[in-house]
Amino acid sequence: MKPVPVAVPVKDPAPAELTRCAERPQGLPESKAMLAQIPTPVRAAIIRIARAFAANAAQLDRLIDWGAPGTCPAGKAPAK
Amino acid sequence: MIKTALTAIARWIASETGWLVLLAVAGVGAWLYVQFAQVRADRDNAIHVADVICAGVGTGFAPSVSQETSTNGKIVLVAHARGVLCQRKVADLADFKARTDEATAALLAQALKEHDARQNKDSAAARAAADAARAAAERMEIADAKADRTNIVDHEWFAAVNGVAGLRASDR
Repeated sequence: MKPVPVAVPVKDPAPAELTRCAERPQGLPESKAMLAQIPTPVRAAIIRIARAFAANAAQLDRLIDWGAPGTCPAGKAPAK
Repeated sequence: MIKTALTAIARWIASETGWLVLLAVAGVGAWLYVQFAQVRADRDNAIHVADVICAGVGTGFAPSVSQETSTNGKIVLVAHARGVLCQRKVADLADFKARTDEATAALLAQALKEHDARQNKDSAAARAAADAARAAAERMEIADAKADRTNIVDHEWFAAVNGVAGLRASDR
């Protein structure tokens, strides 16, 4: 007779500190009066950082949603 | 001549009846004795096997008495006939195994189902994020191309950066 492992559900949620939804602070001001001169390398860096920020935040939200569905719904308004 | 011989044998049997009956009884007795010896050996072997089987599941085969608490809270002595405890234990074990297998299968099936649902949901979320990122990146490219010559950026460029980062505009 083949021994059969007995499965039990394991609930081992990560600490609350690790399952906070991604923080999305206010971004750049968009008022029409704003004008700035930014050299190309700095503009490229800003764009790079912004893109990485969005990717990381989306990934974190997806990770948290994987463990606890509905915790950080996509497109959820940032807390502050 | 055969008739003469048969007559002689019949006469001999008639004269020796007592001995012959005794012989027949002795024969039957010997046969019964052998039968009984075989039956006893079989019985002893069966009991021994039962003892071994019961010891294997942690109970005895012999009749026993146990203390139980009755429904009204009194302690009563309950006599168990030979093999009853053992039989109950074996039945319990078989039942345990069957139900454990069933519960395990149900649990694994449920886990598989949950995993699939989760996978689908995450795929949808990933697709939505990728679509939004692509659209924002296109807008960003257009806005950045306008600033290419002068390095002067305006509110459209800032808005495009916010779009790429997935952020709202600042109040100030």
